[in-house]
Amino acid sequence: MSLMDQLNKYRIGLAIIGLVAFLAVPFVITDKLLIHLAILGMLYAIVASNWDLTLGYAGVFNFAHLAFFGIGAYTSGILAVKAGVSPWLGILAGGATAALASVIVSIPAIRLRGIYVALLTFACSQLVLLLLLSQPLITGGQQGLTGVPQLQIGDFRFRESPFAHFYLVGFLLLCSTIFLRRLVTSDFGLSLIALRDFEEYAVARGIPLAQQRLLAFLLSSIFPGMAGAVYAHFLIVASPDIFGFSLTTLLLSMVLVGGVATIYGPVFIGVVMTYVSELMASSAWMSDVFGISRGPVRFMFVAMLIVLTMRFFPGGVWGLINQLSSRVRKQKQAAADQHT
Amino acid sequence: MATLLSVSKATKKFGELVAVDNVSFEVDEGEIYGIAGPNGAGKTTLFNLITGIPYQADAGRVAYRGEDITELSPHKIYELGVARTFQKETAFDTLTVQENVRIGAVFGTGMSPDQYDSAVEGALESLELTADRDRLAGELSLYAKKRLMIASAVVSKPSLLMLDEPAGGLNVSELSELEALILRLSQGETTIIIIEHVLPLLFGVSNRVMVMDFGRRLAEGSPEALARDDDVIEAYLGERGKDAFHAISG
Repeated sequence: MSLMDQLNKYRIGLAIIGLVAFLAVPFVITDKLLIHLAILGMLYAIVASNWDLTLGYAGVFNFAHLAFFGIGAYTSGILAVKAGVSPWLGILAGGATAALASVIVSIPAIRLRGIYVALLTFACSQLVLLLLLSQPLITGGQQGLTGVPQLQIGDFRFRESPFAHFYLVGFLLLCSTIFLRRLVTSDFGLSLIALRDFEEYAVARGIPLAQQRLLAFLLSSIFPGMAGAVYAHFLIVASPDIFGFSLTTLLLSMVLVGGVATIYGPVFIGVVMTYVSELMASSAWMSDVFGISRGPVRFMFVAMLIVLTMRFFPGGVWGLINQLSSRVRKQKQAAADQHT
Repeated sequence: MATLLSVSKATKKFGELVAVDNVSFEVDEGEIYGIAGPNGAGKTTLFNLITGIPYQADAGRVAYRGEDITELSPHKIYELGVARTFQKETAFDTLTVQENVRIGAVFGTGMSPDQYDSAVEGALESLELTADRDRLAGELSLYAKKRLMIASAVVSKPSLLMLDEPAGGLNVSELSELEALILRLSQGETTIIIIEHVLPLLFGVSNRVMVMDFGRRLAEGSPEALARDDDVIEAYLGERGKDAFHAISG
């Protein structure tokens, strides 16, 4: 029995404990910066876990997920700033636009393999960035789109409360995680694993390669698009920095260090990595010790973490936990067998 | 009996090498059709051309129930009822035995969820894999893995089952079990094409056999007739081997 099986046994109890703990966070942690980082961490976790569907389960080396996040941010931002569309509709539009973009990217990508997919999707991501920069009157160009309205319900403004964004983003992360888990445990998930593990054998068993990969792109782009829209309304700006290599590396590290093809790994490590990375950027001792300015230190740390993970536990943290839990279970089973 | 599969002048080249050279043959419904030949004769390449995995023919035509499938996608060919196994024992190693078989039932078969659940149970039982259903496919023995590959093909209830060297690496008792299994599978509505190097098994189960050499069709006929065919004996044993064979067999 894997860790997941064991957790499944107590899933209702664990879900209640988790929910209560989550709801209590803004009451217990009153530091605004920590709550801010938790919200960012959860938004990044949505992108990382959805990225895991294509990268981990489908085995497609896709680098377009941050672009889907950015497209969601700019769609909702532009609709709100230029057309006065409600941010709530903008969030839905962000998901829809990201889904449309994922179809456009996936059509040339699904027939390619390995490094070619990585190159193509990265190029598409940069193309989106260049398109945004080329239209400064609409997108704000290099400065980003400012004046994005914050979320509000009636007279209640989300930025005035420490709870509102936290609960909203937590709810979005929960929906995204349930959605992803249902996908990967369905026959659709089986087909993605089959195509990843042995493409020729999978198509010989009737799995339509192009259709399933296109669906994987499409289904994994909706929540990142919505998360991007929430991000823009949360920070009241849609910035081209979203498409930067630094954030791509950080999110990739969440998938790899969390554990590919696990969904839960990128969710948990996504939140943790955001904290760690921001703390490194804001604390002086690392840069004092190594004599490097604060900015690069965190990215050096992220890069090192990726290298060490790939070298020593390629299954990531979640994979390691599963491995240890399986070992303990086998030892217990062996002891029980010996006893009888 | 009606023709199920018709291959006409199929050709496949890899650069200068002609792997399959103008090969034609027909398989009737309900028969077991064997394909023999030395290593490199083009047998597996011919299977690949028929199923479109991983490539299609450069020239020629493959027709299934009269429909041209030469350029059809592999998953569409599976939907028509053509299922194949591979020369090397193949499975989705990170999935369980039950999940491996389920994949064969779910996609392209048109079955409802209830139907494919019972089809999976039937296939597991028929291939004696029920006890291993929750094991990872990667943990199975060679013979169990070969049975799993057949189970994931027969679960779709194919009209045409193509077995690529199912006997490779098996011991004597496993060979005898496999022979019985192939005969049992053919008693339903399944037509079988089998590539095999283990000639006693191939000749034991096949109604007709085609022998290939250097990508070409060398001979075709009943197993009894081919066992006495000089060209076939020479293809396997060489000129001197053929003389020795005749000297021994009188």
